[in-house]
Amino acid sequence: MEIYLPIAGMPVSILLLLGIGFGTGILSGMFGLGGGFLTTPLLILIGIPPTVAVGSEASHIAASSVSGLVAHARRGNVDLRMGLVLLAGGTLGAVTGLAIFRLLSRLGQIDDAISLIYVVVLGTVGVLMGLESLRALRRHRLGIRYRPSRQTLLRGLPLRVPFRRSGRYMSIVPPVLTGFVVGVLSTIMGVGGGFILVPAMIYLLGVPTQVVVGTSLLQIAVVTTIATFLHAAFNQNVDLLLGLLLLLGAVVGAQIGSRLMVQLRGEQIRFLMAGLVLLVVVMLGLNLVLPPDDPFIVERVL
Amino acid sequence: MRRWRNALGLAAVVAGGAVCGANAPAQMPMLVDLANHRIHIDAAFTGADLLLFGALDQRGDVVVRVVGPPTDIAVRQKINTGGIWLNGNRVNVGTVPSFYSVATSRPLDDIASPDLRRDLELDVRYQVSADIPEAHRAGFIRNFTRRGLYAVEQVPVKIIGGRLFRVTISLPEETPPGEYWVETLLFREGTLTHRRINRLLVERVGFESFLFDLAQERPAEYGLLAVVLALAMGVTAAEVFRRV
Repeated sequence: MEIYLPIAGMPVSILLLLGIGFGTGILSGMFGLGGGFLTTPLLILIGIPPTVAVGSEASHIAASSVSGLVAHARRGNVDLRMGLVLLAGGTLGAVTGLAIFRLLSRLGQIDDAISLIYVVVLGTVGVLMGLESLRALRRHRLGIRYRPSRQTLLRGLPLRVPFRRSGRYMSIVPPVLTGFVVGVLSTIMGVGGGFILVPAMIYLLGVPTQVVVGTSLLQIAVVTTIATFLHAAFNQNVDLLLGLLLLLGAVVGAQIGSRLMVQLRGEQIRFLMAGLVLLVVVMLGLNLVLPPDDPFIVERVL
Repeated sequence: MRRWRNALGLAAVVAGGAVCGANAPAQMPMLVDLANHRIHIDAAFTGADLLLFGALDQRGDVVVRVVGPPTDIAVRQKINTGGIWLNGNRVNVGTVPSFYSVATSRPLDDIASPDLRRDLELDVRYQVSADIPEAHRAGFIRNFTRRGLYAVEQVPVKIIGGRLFRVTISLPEETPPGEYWVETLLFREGTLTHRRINRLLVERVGFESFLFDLAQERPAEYGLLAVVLALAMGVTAAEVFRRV
């Protein structure tokens, strides 16, 4: 069954959109990811104009991350103080990212820059997380207790405060910087930034995996809500019908995902996430390396 | 339903031809009409068939051209740079028809000379500026042809008994809304003898049109609606699932 999308200007299968939404929802509930890094390329693949894909995706991620956020908050998996500190850095980062985006656009190489940044950032994150989680899984099998390393590097920084939910007492400088870098990258790449934020919180800030997921959803929900409004108000590229269908599938998926997560150990979650991230890297990488069907690409000039 | 309407339309032509058969042909070498003058894009739209039919006073060749609203287009060529396919420079094609279709009763080569075809700008390449590199121009035409937006000599104009003709032009799923010009050209012995123009309106209706207009005309309200809807759906879902 197909439905005509008013802003995208084309009909798409309803089941296909519900399915994509459902799959993204599971990821969002399970890993604390928005899933934009997966869904946006998929939407473009099925023929949705790229600008509409990015804009509508923001509305969809806002809804699914709020759904996941509420579920996690109820289980006490959100470190509100950590979330606010990250957001402070993230907001600054988003503004900086927008400036870089404009600069790259003026140079005319934004598309390729985005693809390459995706492959490099996702590839690095995926490989590091995959190796670490494999080590952790092996330790678990051998019965060795996993102790998160205390970053001596980060000691001695000013403005130390307790992050009770995360069980850390540390300076706010590292989380503000983390939020800043994520804000820059997520604005340039047009995604919520969960796939960078989640590993950064685990490995750089030493936050327990369970709390990371809920807290990262807080940042994603806020960032994508703002992005939805900005896209709709300034670019007119948010297709509400498209977003609605995606999120109908996603809200169900997010609930199932957050239940699945409770049953898994941190290193199992990280291992699955690493696999998923690397899968996307291979997909995007092949796209860059394989010769295109037709080397000519047509764009509408607005 | 559509098939049934088509049959009805053709029956009307036959009847009309019979009634005015005695005097009409002298003043009217060609009569043309569309089965529908409006095509509605609603939630169920997956493309449409445009039926055009007409009558001739004597034998001739018929060419039907459908031109969609103009649009601005740019083309990029992917170039292999050190093993990676990167976008090359953007080439502005300029203004082109967003839809272009030409149907003919015989191959175009047999109907009109190359000079006449150029004067009438019948071939699709006359619709695209020649100021851009030929490869980009061909690449653009290939792209739009693949998407069903450009179709030249892909369906025949059927002439029945030398007097009646009909053609069905398919509008693809991504048919752009707007005003279309449907031009019917009559050729006899290689010269253009008659031309009729019909107007076709492709428009969004119902919920589709409501959402589109809101997004275009009240973007800030639309943005707020999108945000409120997204947040409400997210919270609702979390509530619903808490009880399951």
